[in-house]
Amino acid sequence: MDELPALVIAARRGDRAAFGELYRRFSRAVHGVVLARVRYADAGDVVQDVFAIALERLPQLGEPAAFGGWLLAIARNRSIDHVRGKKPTDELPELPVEASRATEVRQVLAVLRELPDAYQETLILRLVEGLSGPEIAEQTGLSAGSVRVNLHRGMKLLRERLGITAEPESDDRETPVGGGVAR
Amino acid sequence: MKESDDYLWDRSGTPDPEVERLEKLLAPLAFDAPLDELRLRRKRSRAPWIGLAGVIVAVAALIALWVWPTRRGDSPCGGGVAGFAFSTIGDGQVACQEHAAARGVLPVGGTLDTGTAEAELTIADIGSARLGPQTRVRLDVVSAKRHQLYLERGRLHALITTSVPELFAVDSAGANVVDLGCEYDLEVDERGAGIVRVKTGIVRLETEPHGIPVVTPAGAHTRLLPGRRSGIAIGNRATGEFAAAIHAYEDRGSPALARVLELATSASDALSVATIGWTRSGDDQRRALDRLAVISPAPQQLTVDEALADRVLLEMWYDEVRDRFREYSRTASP
Repeated sequence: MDELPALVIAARRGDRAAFGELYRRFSRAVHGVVLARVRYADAGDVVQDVFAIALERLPQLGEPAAFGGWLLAIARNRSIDHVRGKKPTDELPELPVEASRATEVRQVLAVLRELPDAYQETLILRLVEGLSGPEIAEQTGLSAGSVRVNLHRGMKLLRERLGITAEPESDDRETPVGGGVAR
Repeated sequence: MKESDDYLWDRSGTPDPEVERLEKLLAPLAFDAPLDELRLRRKRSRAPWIGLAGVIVAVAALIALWVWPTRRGDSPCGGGVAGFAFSTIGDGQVACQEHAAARGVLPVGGTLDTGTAEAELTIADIGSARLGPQTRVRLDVVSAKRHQLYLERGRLHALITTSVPELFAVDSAGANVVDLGCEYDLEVDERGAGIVRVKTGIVRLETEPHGIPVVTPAGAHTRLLPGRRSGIAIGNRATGEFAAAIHAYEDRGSPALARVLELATSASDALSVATIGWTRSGDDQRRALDRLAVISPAPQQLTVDEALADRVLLEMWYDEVRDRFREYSRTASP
């Protein structure tokens, strides 16, 4: 992400390819944040809205390096606006999954959406959008430590609520890890 | 210790079957649609596409490594090969490759013995090392990724100015002291026993295969214990009683831990307790972390159980303790 500020500045100047690259990099993160609040069927549409709003407001972004956090804030606000005043509808027919799995997918999504905000977003980004922990930290602006704590606690809570009782045991051998390089 | 969260974090380590199952179940919902250009065109009346070709990419600054220029000559330390320049401090001569000299170039593989003199060694373009009397060093590595000395005996004061960590290291029979951007004093005897005192920045002591590396920040010191794992980092302002308790633990192990934990109260003591929590396992580790939770609680209300379950979270706590120690060192009255 070293070149992120340059991409943002170029997009601000009207560079179409630069904005396209920003979309490529951040669209999954935006979708994950949106999916935490919005029905799957509507989420894709909201993602496109978010990027359209972002393009319009790009000149107002003071710090290009903060693009990720800024974009996801737009995504959260846009998602809240979208669901305001809408009745909850059954998600089942809209999911792009095999019928045999649809019920379970709907159940897991419902449980994820009931988790505390910090956990649900992080877990959706990891389990649905396939972002790794480091990628989540990079794109959301959160520290790696915070993301790791959210994943750990969120997954523990998810297991409890889904009724999965046992966590996998790993080898109890001590495996030395580097001594914490800090500057 | 459980490392099961590694897979959840970055898919490394042993796959967590439940995480894997959920990933496969939910993967079809991942976003994969192209950018809706039409929608953008409607919105961007105030930001027309100019259609610039190319993207400006910021380039990170690179540190160019410089191998000290060599000088041709007949002396083995006169130049002609890669190495570090040296010069004696004051009068006197040192022995470079057993040849007396007041200045020259220490070649890779060569040794420098200061005898009764002192010398300054230039470490490429990243710093210098001052060698005390009766000090013998060997230059082991000069490369783009690492410059390494071997301190056979004596005293060395290193001042490294590069912002690139791990570029310089000093090995000895007691430990490999890896510079992470700092100034420190290192003293060892011929067995490799000694001490490292860090003045600025931090160093990492590696004693593979004897244990996990120990990080020593500025304002602290750590003993080098040849044939054993590194000592425990101790704040320079720790009480004599506490330091003695740490030394007893280093020498006798678990039976001596209770006294350490009983005496540990300050941010300085917390550094030592955190080092035990980081480098030990089993009951010692648990006891140390239980005490650490009282005298220097973990960030984000991390519990001891969570830290034990995930080494990265433990490292986060360890980093926080070192940060508090640095602050304490800066503000505590001498």
